[in-house]
Amino acid sequence: MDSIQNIVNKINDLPTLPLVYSKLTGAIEDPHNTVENISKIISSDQASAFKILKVANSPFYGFRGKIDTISQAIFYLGFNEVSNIVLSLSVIKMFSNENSLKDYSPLDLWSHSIGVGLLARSVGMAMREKDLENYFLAGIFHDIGKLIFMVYAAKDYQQAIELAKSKKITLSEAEIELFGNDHSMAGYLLAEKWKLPASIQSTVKNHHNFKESDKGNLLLGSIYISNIYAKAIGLGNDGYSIISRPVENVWDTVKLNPGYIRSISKRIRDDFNHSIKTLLVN
Amino acid sequence: MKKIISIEMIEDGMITGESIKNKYGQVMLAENIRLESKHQKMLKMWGISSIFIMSDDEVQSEIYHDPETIEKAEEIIKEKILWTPINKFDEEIYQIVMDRILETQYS
Repeated sequence: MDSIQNIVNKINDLPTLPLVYSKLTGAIEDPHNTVENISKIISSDQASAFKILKVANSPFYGFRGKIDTISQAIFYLGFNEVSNIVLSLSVIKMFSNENSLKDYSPLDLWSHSIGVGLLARSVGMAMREKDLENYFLAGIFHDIGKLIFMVYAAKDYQQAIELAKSKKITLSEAEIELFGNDHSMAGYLLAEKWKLPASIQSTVKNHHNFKESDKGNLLLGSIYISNIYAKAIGLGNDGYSIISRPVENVWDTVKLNPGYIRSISKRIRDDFNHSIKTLLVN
Repeated sequence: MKKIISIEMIEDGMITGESIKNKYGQVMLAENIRLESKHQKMLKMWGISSIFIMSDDEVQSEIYHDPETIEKAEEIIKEKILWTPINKFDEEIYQIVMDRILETQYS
């Protein structure tokens, strides 16, 4: 059995993020850069540019059909949101063709992650959070550690899934038993290697573990509860059918009315079906 | 989502989205009440012209399922939820799973 350390060492062999994303983040950080320059960088990859426009026009953002060019996407959504779409599309593409386990494929995982991202963003909006840029991205990345296990320790990971089912323990507990650590830590190490924003790194690391000291961290709270509710609503498959009970202290941070998520679950499912087609179907 | 309608639009089976108060702030009809034609007459008498009702999204659990179906759905839920709900959020999760099972397996 590979230990988490051996798997982590293999992370060094993982491909780096695509050049277009690194160029893009560099360009966005340069205050002298213009929308035209940044549009050119994105449009250098025609296939990606086309997909970005599809995402920007999806019901998720509410600009259906209005955005025809990358410059308009930047105008309506902002530099960071467009950059997050580029990153999401890149990482989904990078890990979509890996081998599937017995009842669990990378596309199952991406479906679940998209569901969590959509729901977390809706929770953030309901909480009147102004800065929603990282909510969807955090949803996309929260379970990336599972993909690392699927890619670098497929046989052992199948065993972890079966162990969780037979012992009725969480997948994280089974991973710790077999690998010495869980997918949250594996994902965090990758997020760190890729130099993702600090808020994304810590959300990936703690998405199963909302502590008293996390009070006020709305991004983490939204991802934490969305991870649970997405399973209840049936958005994708995270490899494990048992639904955890949210810790009570999370509701001091995510101050939703009970019943709110149920009331939006039909809309979320519609948005989810649309997003799956846009993001996962070529 | 809640939506506002004129009381002329009330139909049997609609659910109140907010409590209905008279001009003195007294609650005449609580939230989550199934409306009938008699309510329309009452509201007119009280001088109320519009009310909030639940949209279809929020009335999704109102489809009737017999006790045997509910029991079967509860058995499936026991395989997915290994804890007992102790607050309204826990109950909501339980209810969302119930909605999904009833919708996908018994509708």
